[in-house]
Amino acid sequence: MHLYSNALGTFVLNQNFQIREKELGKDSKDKFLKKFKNIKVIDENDIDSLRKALVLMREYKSDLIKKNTEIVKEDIKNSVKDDLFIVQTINTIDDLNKVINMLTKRLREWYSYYFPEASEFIPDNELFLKYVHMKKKDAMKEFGIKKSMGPDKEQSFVEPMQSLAKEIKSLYKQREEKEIYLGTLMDRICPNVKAIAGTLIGAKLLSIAGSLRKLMLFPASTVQLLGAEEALFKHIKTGARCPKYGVLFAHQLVQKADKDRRGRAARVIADKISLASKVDFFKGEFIGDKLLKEVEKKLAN
Amino acid sequence: MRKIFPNIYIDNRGKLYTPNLVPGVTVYEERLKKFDGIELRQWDERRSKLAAAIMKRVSQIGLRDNDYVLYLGASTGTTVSHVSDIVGPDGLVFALEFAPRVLRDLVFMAEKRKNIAPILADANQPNTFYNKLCLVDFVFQDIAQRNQSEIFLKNCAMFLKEDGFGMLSVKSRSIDISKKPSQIYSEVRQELEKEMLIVDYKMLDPIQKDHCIFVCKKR
Ligand SMILES: C[S@@+](CC[C@H](N)C(=O)[O-])C[C@H]1O[C@@H](n2cnc3c(N)ncnc32)[C@H](O)[C@@H]1O
Repeated sequence: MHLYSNALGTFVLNQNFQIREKELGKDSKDKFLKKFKNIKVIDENDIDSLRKALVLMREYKSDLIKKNTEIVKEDIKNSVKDDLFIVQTINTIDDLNKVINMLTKRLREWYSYYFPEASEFIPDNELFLKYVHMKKKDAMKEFGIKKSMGPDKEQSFVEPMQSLAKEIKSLYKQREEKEIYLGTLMDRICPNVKAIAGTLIGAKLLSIAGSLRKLMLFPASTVQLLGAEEALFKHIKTGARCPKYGVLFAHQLVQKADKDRRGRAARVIADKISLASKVDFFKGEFIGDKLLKEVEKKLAN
Repeated sequence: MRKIFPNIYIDNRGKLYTPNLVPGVTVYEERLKKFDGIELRQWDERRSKLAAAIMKRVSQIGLRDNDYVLYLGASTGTTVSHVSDIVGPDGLVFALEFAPRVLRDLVFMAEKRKNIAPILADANQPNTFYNKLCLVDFVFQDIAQRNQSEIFLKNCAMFLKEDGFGMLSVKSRSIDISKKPSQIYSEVRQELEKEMLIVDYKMLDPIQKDHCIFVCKKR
């Protein structure tokens, strides 16, 4: 006799692989093992018997659908780990940056028909928003100009631009809030990665990898090139120069390094990030400050 | 409009269709069309290797009404929904996928259809999901993995019935981007031939770049 248990329940099969007894909806393996002597458990090592049991399961179509649907919902629920919230947050910050840039560019274009000197003299975006709210007269005095290339307009022309500026300003605020939130999330979930990579770069690496688990599984050489996928692909396909860094290019220790030593800096940092991600994944201690010191020391000579 | 395979239609502009199992409902904003009293769903060959293979005039697909199917690499269920149409209300599709995010979309689709069993699992590890399946008439695989032919054979050995059909979509770039696709296809062919009979083979270019599909029968 054979014993077969699966997601549906437990089945006792006779020599000819016909169902002799069954219990659906629970695991009755132990019970049946006690009840029947000389019973052999079917598992994946005995493919012939397994296939015979699997034939019998064809009669249980609606149970298979019901049970699998139930299980899959639970599985999907359990797959949601907190690091996915880091990924969503950094992606939101990226999106906010894009939206802010796009709208600011539009506002500059628009405002410049009224007061082009403001856009010309204030390259900083956030500061420019302030000038949109200022009286044209006052701003001209501040810039030290007597005549503007833009025509004077009544307030009803200016107000719509000012209200857009206010909206953009609030997007900056939104971004700031999300960055703070991101920092606290990372303190909880991957403090070691954060210590070495910094909040934004660390989160970006996680986002490209997809999760902390995936980041942890990458070799350091892959971490070094995360964000440079296109260049890497080109390198393999056409023999173009191999990239030396991706996201890590923005790391201050890479920026600080001499031009010809930036690749090495990225490698040293990637090494430690790789280690840090493993420690974080397995919820180890905080050693981020120690690791960062080691990086700095290595890069100093 | 004419039928070219069981439950698969082609119109005179060369567009493919399957009979909608849930009339009035679309899955990916595809077009719906009435024909002969039934509602058909247009099947976009650019979004499905199976449809692409049919467009490239594959001689057989071995998929019919009432079939039980194991679909490996189900993703959000674009192609799965058409396979669900083809096998019909008495068929069954086990839709296996290992990325929870895309499977979530598939679950919403599956619940409207009543012939799909979604499974979150790694196709490379049949021992983690054999307790959720029954023997099937057809295995379809579309996953980008280095060892995709090994995975396919493993699953056919365990779950495909004798004389059952299997279809493997091969993405050459995920096996080795530095090798020529044609070389990879012939390596895959050799591997498959150890255990299966190859019934047909089609390159899917230009519909699906660097892809080919093997139709096999279990010996
Ligand atoms: C090209 S997509 C499939 C598209 C789908 N066949 C369609 O036409 O609608 C490949 C899918 O296979 C999944 N996949 C890759 N490796 C897998 C594995 N080992 N087990 C299960 N699914 C896998 C990926 O997550 C991805 O969703």
